[in-house]
Amino acid sequence: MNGVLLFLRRELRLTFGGSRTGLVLAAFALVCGIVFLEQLADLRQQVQLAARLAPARLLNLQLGSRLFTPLFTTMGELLVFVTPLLALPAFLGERQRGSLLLLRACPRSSWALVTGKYLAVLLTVLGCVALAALYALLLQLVATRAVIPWQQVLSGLLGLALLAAGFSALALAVAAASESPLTAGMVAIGVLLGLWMAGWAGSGQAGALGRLLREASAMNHLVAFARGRFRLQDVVYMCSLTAMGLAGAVCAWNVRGRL
Amino acid sequence: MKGLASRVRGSLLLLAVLLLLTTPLTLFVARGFSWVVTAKLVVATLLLAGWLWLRRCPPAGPPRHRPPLGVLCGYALAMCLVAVAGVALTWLAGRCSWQLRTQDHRQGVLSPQTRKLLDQQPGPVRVLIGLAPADRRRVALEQLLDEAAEIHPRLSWRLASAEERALLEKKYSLAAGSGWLLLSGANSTRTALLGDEPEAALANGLAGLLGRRQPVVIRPAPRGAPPLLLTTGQLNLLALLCLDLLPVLLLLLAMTRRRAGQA
Repeated sequence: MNGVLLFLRRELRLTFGGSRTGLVLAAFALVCGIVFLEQLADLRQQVQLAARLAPARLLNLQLGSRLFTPLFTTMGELLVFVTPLLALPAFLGERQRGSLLLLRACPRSSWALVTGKYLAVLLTVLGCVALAALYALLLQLVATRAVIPWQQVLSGLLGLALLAAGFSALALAVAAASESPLTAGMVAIGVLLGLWMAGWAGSGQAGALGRLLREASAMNHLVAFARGRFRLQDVVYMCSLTAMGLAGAVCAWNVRGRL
Repeated sequence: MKGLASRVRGSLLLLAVLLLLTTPLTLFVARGFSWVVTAKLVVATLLLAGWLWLRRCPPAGPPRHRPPLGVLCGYALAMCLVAVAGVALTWLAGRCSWQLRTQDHRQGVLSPQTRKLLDQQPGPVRVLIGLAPADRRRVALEQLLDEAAEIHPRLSWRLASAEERALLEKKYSLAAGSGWLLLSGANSTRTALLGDEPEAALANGLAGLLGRRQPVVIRPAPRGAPPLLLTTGQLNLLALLCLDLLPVLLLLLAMTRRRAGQA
C-alpha cells in the first residue's frame, strides 16, 4: 500500500507539473461545452415550439433523454481519444526522462508501480468526467426552470467513471508494452476505438457473432448507464476491462524488464 | 537483407494507414457499417500487428536480443484467460441481472391503458396499417407504434401497400379508404377502424387480441409542463461559463504550470 501511495504521489506531481494535462483538459472542456450548449439550444427551441403548438409533446421533451444521454455518449466517445493522451506518458515519459532504469531498480513490486500510475491517470480522467456534473449544476443554477433528472445524471456519471477506469487501464497496458509514442498512440486509440465501435459491427448481424460484438461494445454498455439504467452486466463488463488492462500492464512491464 | 526487412515494414505500415484512411469513405458509401468495413479494419489491425512484430524482432539481431518466446506465450495465454473470464462473467451477470430503472422511461404519447395492454401481450404482435401514405393520421400513428414497439419489443409494424389494402378491405368488409389496423397475434387476428383518435383503435385491437370485447376508453394524455425555461440571456451566460471561462481557466493553469516547470 505504501508503494502504491508513493508512486501515486510521484505520478500526480509529474502529471500536473507540466502543461500537457491542462491543455488536454481544456480541449476536452471546450468540445464538451460545444456539444452541451448545442443540445441545450436545440432543446430550448423545441420546448418553446411545443409549448405554443402542441403542449402534449412536452411530455416527450425530457432533459434526460434529450440533453444528458447524448452528452454522456459524446463524452464516452471523446474518452477514446483523451484517455491515451493522458495515460501514455505514464510509462513513455519515464523513457524520455531517462528514469526507466531507476524505476526498474526500485525495490517495489510491479503491481504497486502499475497501480500507483493507474490511479494517477484515473484521477485525471475522472476530472474530465466531472465536467458533466458541473454542467448539470450550472444549468440548475442559471435556468429559470430546469427539471434535471438527477438519478439519471448520477447513473450516467457512474457509467462514465467506470468506462474511464477501463479505458485508462487498457491505455496504460499499451503504454507499458510500447517503446515509441507514435506506435503506442496508434495502438491505444485503435484498441479503444475498436471496443467502442464493436456495437456498430454487430448491429446489422444476427446470430452469435453479432451478439458477441454487441456485448463487447463499450458504447452499448455506456448507453444503458446514460439512459438511467443500472445493470449488473454493464458494471461487470467495465470491471473486466479494468482487470484486463491492469493485468496486461503488469505483464508488459515484467516482460519489458526481462528483455 | 536489412533493407528488405525495412521495406516490408514500411509497406505494411503504409497499407494499414491507407486502409484506415479509406474506411470513413467506405462508411459513407455503404451508408453504415458493412462487412467491407469490418474486413478493412481486421486487415489493417493484422498489418499493424505485423509491423509491430517486425519492429520488435530485427531479423539480423543476435539471439539474446530476441524476445523470450516462452515468456511472451505464457503472458499471451494469461491475457486470453483473463479475457475469457471477463466474457464469462459478463455473460453470467447478464443471466442473473437485475435492472434498476432510475428514470421513468414510460413517459410518452401512449396512454396508461394502452401501455398496460401492451405489457399483457404474451407473444409477438404484428400491426399492418391500412392508410394511404398521404393520410394526415399516418405520422401520429407511426409515432404511437414506435413507442409501442419500445414497450413491447416483439411488436412490429408496417404500412400496407395499395394492393394489400384493397385485398384486405374486401376480405374483412372494411369501408374503402376509411383507415384501419390489422393486428396479428400468436393465435388470433383483429381489425380496428381508425377514427380521429388512432390510439383508441390500437388499444381496442390489442384488447381484442387478449380476447376482450368491451371497448377501451382512452383518457386524454395530460398536458406537459415545460421541462426547461431558459431565456436568451441565461443561455448566453451558460455559453460564457462553459465555452469561455472553464477552458480558459484550464489553459491558464497549464501555462502557469509550464512557466513553473521552466523556472
